[in-house]
Amino acid sequence: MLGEFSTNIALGLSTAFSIENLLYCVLGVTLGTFVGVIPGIGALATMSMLFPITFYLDPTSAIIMLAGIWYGSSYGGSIASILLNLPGTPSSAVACLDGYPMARQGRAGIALFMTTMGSFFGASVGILLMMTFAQPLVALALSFGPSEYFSLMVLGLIAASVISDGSALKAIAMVLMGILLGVVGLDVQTGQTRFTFGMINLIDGISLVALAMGLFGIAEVTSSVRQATGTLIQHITLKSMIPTRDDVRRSWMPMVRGSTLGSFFGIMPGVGPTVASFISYAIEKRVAKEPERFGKGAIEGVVAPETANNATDQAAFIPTLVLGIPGSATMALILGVLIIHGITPGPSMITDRPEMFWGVVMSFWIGNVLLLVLNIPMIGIWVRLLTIPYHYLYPAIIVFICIGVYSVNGSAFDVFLIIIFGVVGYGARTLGFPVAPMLLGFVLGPLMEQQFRRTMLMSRGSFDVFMTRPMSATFIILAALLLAWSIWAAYRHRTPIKRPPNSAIKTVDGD
Amino acid sequence: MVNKQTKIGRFLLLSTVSCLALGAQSALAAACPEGFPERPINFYVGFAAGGGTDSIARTLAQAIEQAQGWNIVVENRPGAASAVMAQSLLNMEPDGHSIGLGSSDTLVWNPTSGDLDFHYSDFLFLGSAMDSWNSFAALSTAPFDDIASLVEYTREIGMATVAVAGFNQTLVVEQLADQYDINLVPIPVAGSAESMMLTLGGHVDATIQGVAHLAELESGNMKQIASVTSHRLPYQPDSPTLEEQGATALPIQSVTVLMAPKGLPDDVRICLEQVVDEAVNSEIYHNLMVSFNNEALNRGPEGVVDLISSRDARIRALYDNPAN
Repeated sequence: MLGEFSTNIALGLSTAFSIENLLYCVLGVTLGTFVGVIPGIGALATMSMLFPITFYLDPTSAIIMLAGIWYGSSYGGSIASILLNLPGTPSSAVACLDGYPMARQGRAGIALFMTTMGSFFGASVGILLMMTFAQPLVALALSFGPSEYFSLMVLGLIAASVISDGSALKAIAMVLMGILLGVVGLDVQTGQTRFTFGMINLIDGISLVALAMGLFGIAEVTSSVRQATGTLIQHITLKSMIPTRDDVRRSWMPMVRGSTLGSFFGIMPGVGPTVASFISYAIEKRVAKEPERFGKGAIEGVVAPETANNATDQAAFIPTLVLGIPGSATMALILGVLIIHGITPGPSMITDRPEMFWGVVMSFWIGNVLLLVLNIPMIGIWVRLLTIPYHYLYPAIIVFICIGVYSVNGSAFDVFLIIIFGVVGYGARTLGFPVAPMLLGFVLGPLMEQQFRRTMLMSRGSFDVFMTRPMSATFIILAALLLAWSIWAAYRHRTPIKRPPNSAIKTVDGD
Repeated sequence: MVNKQTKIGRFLLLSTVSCLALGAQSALAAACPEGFPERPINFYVGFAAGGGTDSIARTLAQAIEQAQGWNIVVENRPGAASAVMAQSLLNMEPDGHSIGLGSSDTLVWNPTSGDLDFHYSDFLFLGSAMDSWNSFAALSTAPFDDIASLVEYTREIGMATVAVAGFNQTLVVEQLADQYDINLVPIPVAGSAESMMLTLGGHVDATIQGVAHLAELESGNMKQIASVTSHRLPYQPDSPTLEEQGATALPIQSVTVLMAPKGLPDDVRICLEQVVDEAVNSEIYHNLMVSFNNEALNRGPEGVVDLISSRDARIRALYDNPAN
C-alpha cells in the first residue's frame, strides 16, 4: 500500500517536473494571481478564454495550466480586498471585512503575508486529502442527499448571521434581499421563470460576479470619490510587513479550522469557495474570545476565510477527478479538457491514467510552492498600489470590473447589472446596511430552496426526513442550539449596553 | 524547340490545373458566391466554453478553415440553454457571416417557456452536427433492469424517483408515469452533475443521462434501463429503446444545430449548407465524435426543420389533449 503510494508520487513528480508541464504550471499560477488581483476578471473567464488552446495541448499540461489559474486566482483574490476594499473574486469579498481595516491601520503587509501563508496552508490540506483520502471523502460527499444539504445550509446561514456588526435587523433584511435576488431566473423544479420580467438575459439568474463587483467594487469606488484626498499613502516599512508573534499565534487555529471547513465544502459539488469563506469567517467570529474585534482589523477574520477558500479550490478536484462530477463551471472546464482529448472522466481514470491523475496532483504542490515564492516578494509591490493617486487608480478599476464582468458570459447586460448593484451597494452603505450578508443570502438562499423542495418531493411532503436521517438531524440540532445560544447571548448582552461605550473600545485598542 | 514548347505548355497547363484545383478547393463541393466571405465568419455558441457544443463549434470551425481557407471566430454566448444566443442571432444581418450553434430543443415549444421572443421559423437552419443521446440509467444494484421491472418495482414500493436535468427529460418521466399509472416522480436538478450525485449516492432510484454516466457504465457501477432515443445506442447495443419496451413516451430527439438569421441570400445559403456538411463529415470532426462516444450526423436543413416542427407539434399535442 505504502509502496504503491510512493510509486504514485514518484510517477506524479516525474510527470509534473517535465519541462513542459513545469512551464504550464508557472504560466497558470502567474496568470491566476494576476486575474485574481484584478477586480472583476476572474478564473472562470480566463480559463474560458484559454480553453481553445487546450485543444492543441497534451491534456495533462492543459489541466495543469487551467488548474493553476483556478487556485492561483484565490491567492490573488484577497489582495485587492485587503488593500482597496474591492474583492478581486467573489470568494474573497469577506476578506474586505477585516483586511481593509488592517490596511487602514498600516498593517496591509501583515495581512497579505498571513493570507498567503493561510492560502498555502489551506491548499496543502486540500491536496493532502486528495492524495490520501479521496475515496472515503467521495463516499462522504455521495452520502449527502438533499435533506443533509438543506440542514447543512440552515446551520451555515444561522452560523453566518453574525457576519456583520451593527443592527441585526438590517443584516437580516440584507440576507433576505440576497435570497430574493438569488431566486431570479429559471426555477429548476418547475421550469418557470421567476422575476425575469420577460428578459431572456435573466433566465439563468443574476451573475454572482456582477453582484459581488457591483456591491463591493463599484460601491467602494463611488463612496471613496466623496472623501478622496489624493492617495491612501501610508508609510511602508519593512516592519509593517513582518507579522508579530501575536499575529502568528492568533492565526494558527483559524488556519486549521478554515482548511477543515474549506476542504469539507470543496468535496460537496455545487457549494463553492464563496460559501466556505463566509462561513469560515462567521465561525471565527463565533469562537473568538473578543468578537468585537471583528470588522475592525482582526487577523483571524482575514486568514480563516482565505485559508478556507483555497482548501475548497483544491478539494473541489476530488469529486471532479475521482467521480468525474464537476461541482462548478470551472471544474466543468477541467473535465471538458479531458473529454475533448478522448478521456472519459470518472472512477476509471485514476487506474487507467495514473500518470495524469498523479501528475496533476503533484503539479498542485509545485504550483502552490510557486505561488508562495511569487506572492511573498510581491507584497511590497502590491502595497505600493496604495500610493497610486485615486484619479488614476479608480477609473482603471472600473474599467477592469466592466471588462471582467463582460468577459464571463460576453454579456453587455451583466455590465448594466454591475452599475445597478453599484448604486444599490452605495445606497446600502450610506444607510448603514451591510452588503456581505446580502451576498451570502444570494449564494445560500437558492441552494437551500432547491434542496428543500427536492427533499419534499422525495419524502412525499413529510418533514420527518430532516430528523430521521442521522446526519441531517445532527445539523438541525446544532443549528437549533446555535440559535438558542445566540438569542441567549444577545439577551445577556442587553445589560452591558448601559455601561459607558468606551470600555468595549479600549480592549480593541489594546491589541 | 517543339519539345520545349510542349514542356512549357504542359507546365502552364499543369499550373492552370493546380490553380484550378486550388481555387476549386473552395468550389469543390461548396459552390460559394464570388467574394464570400468578405470578412471572418462568427460562430456564436449557445453554451459556455468547455462544453460539448463549444468543442463541436471549434472543431467544425477548424475543419472549415482547413477546407475553405476562411477565418472563423468562435464566440460563446451562453445562457438559457442557447436561447440567449438564438435571440441575439435574430438581430444580426442575414449575410452569412453570423452563424449560431445551439440545441434544437431550445427552439421547440415547451409549456414553461412560452414567453421566449422567437419561434423556430425565425431562423434558417444550415444543418446539424450531432444527435444528443439520452439514456435511462440506474445503479447496478437497483432491483430493476428494464422498464417493465421498473414499473413493477414502483408499484411495489409506491413511489420511485428519477433525477432529471431539463424539460425534455422531465417530460419522459411524466409520460412513463402517465402510461403505466405509477408514481414515478421526476426530481429536477440543474445539471447532469447533480443528477449523477443523487444517483450514485442512492438518493434517487434512476436518472436520465446524456454522457455523464458512461464511465460508470464502463466500470459496471451503473446499468442502462432503456435508451431514450429512437434507435439503440452503439455503446449499449443490448439496451432496447423505450419504444421497443412498449413505452409510448416520446424519445428525446435533440440535435446540435447550425443556424442563421432568416433572409440569407440563396447562393450564400447553399454555399454554407455545403460547407457545413463537408465539415461535419471531415476527419477531425469524426475524431471528436469518437471521444464523445457519439457519431457525426448532419440531418440536413430540411431534416432539422422536420425534427423541430414534428417534435414541437407532438409536445404541444401532449399538453393540448388533456384540455380537450
